[in-house]
Amino acid sequence: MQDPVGTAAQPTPSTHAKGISEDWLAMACAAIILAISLAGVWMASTYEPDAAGNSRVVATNPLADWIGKPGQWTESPLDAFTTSTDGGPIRWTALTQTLGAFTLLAILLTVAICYRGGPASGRRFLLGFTAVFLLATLAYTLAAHSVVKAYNLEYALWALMVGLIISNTVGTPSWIRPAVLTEFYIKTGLVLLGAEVLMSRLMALGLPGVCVAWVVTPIVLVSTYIFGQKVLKMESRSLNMVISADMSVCGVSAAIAAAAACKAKKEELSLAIGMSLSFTVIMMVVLPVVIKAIGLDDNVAGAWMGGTIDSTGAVAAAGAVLGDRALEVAATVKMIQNILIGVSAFGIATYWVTSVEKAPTEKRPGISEIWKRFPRFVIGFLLASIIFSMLHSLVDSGPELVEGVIKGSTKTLRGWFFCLAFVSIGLETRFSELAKHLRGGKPLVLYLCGQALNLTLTLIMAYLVFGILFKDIIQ
Amino acid sequence: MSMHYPSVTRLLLLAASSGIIALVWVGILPWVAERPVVAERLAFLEQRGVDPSAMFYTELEAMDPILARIEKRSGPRAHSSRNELVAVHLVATEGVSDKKSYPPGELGEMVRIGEQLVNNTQSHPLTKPFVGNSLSCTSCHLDAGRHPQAASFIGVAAAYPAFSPREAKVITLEDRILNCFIRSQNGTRPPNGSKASVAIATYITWLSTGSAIQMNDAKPLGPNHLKPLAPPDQTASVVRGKALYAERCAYCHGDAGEGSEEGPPVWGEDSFNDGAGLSKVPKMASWLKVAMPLDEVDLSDQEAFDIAAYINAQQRPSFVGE
Repeated sequence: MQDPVGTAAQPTPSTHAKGISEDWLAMACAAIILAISLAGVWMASTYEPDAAGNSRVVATNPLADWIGKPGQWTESPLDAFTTSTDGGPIRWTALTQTLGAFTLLAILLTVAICYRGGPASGRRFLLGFTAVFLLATLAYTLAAHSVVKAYNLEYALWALMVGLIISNTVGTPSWIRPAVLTEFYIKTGLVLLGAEVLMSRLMALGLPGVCVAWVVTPIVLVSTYIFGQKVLKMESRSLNMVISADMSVCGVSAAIAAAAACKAKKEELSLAIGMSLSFTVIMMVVLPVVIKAIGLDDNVAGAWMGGTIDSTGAVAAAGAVLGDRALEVAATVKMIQNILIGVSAFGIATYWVTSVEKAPTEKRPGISEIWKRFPRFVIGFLLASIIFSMLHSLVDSGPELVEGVIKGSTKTLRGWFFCLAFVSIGLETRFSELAKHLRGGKPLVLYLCGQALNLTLTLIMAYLVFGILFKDIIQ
Repeated sequence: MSMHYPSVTRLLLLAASSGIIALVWVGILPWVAERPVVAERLAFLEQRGVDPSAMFYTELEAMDPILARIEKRSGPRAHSSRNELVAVHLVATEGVSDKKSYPPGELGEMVRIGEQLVNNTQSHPLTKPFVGNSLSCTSCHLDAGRHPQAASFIGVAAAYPAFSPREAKVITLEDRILNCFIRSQNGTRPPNGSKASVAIATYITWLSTGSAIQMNDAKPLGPNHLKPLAPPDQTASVVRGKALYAERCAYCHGDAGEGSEEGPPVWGEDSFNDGAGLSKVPKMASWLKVAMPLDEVDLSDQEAFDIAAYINAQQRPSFVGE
């Protein structure tokens, strides 16, 4: 992502002394985390006989007890860091786990920065990182309030807010800046997310699921992008793409991947997720009511909501209102769509390298040129996805191992990376830059038109496959 | 932006923003959470394992059972259910003598949740909406059901499904648990199969590890059920009971049975209703004999009956049925 106006003057920490690019560094950090987790699960796993006397693997992640984040709370923010035991002493589990995550990330990232820029920059980073991590912890705590969670207001929003408040009141202190590394956090987080994109889950609902999640979604993505360019004539192609992606694919996670793949500006990403989250709250509440009113079949309704509501959690919440079957279909369609972000990121990056970035006079770049410009971390993201998909589907007891790795550690660390990234975005964004993009209301029109198209096409497809063609697929 | 000495105005702005955040999150949101509409939604989401702020399917608790179901349907690779088998096996061999030996994985998590529900029934978000008084399961099932005599949970799961004369039909352990909610908890029945119901059943089943299965064809009672106390020589006396209550019980349960930090309410609006087992004098007496006063447990049979008569002569909510 480019440096937005106004922050370009800061000493950019991405000048690489060792000649290692940020992409490679991010990939190395993510690879280390994945490798450690996988090795840990591999070694800690035990074989136990099951009821039939066969040997079965029980995957345990040794990191799981030491890595965490603030938990859900309702009455007092302190509850976010404790677990109540049966009237006994208070256990500060989440606090220990948050500190554990801090220690692990601080060591890993400081070593990485030292490697690239020398011990002095490592020391400066560590000081700033402590502050950014504290802000991220605050953002997580705000996001963990049960009411905030219940209405789909994800941590990304609060992380942005916390950063924005500091940068727009007292200004981001210079000692924090060495750790304000938005792109680095995002890229590392995305490669970790790659491990969660398990292609083997693709056929979970068979052909009908693929029809709704993988046929309609790309159509909506591409047509809203063209609509934004040709009809609305949006100045920023990247903003256009990020909004198209979060609206059609899966909200914040897709927005992050798309923004990184098309090198969108930070404030464009902020704007896109802000819009996506606001509309998700509305759709999450309104769609089930509409569906009840028109009396749609549970399967069709589930597929419709799964294909249209942006955020994964909101899909499940809306599905649950309609009942078990709607929840199952909705959540599974969304999961299949989640997996699409691997292909989307690859497609967007390729399109950007081949068509958008070339000068009008330049002819189409050749393969070697494409390879040279192709964002490396997207390859890391895909590699992680492919390796973990293969582990998941081909290796005996692979599902246990992969789930042990993801659930026990990498999922949580990925969350921290994204949270750090959004705090960083906030820390280097001025309100005026955000407002600039809203002028003329084009992003809003794009979102509304795109979502209307999405709702229509998905309903038709859902009705066609779940209502007519494969009516009996789910008993 | 990169000022070293922020002006007073800017510092004030930061302080004001922080103040607003603190006010909203510590003051307003907890209040909002208690509004009936919101509280209901929170309980609903928690019960279904749905976190609407999940960003990816891996963050969604509700996804696990769904995937397990899909895999079971699609055939041989039903690894999640295999995991459950392993977990059950581990419980069977380890036993529960050691309090720490929770089963691994999701099952162990469920046991822990069940234990929390039993201990904090009236305050835990999963059960709170269904409880109409300030009692918890552990108020009667002492030590969260681990007490060997006082309405013990140990071994209970081995007796189910069992015939229940009260309902005149065969009921499951879950049914029996949910019945407590409308009687002893003076509330409403959580849905059968809901997380609260499954968690408590899981916890009780775990406490029954090693018990030989012996379905009860006469009563919904486990092997360690409360032994009925034979009626004493003298009829139970409310008058004697009142004096005994003041002497032995009031310190913890309050002069007006209203309860305190030390003990739950034993009559009045915040106590069990008249459909609860303990609202019957012989049952209450049998329970008092083995349970009260905590740590002393020295009531004579006569004393137990007298106190039971006094407690159950007081006002309490009436059972309204289903």
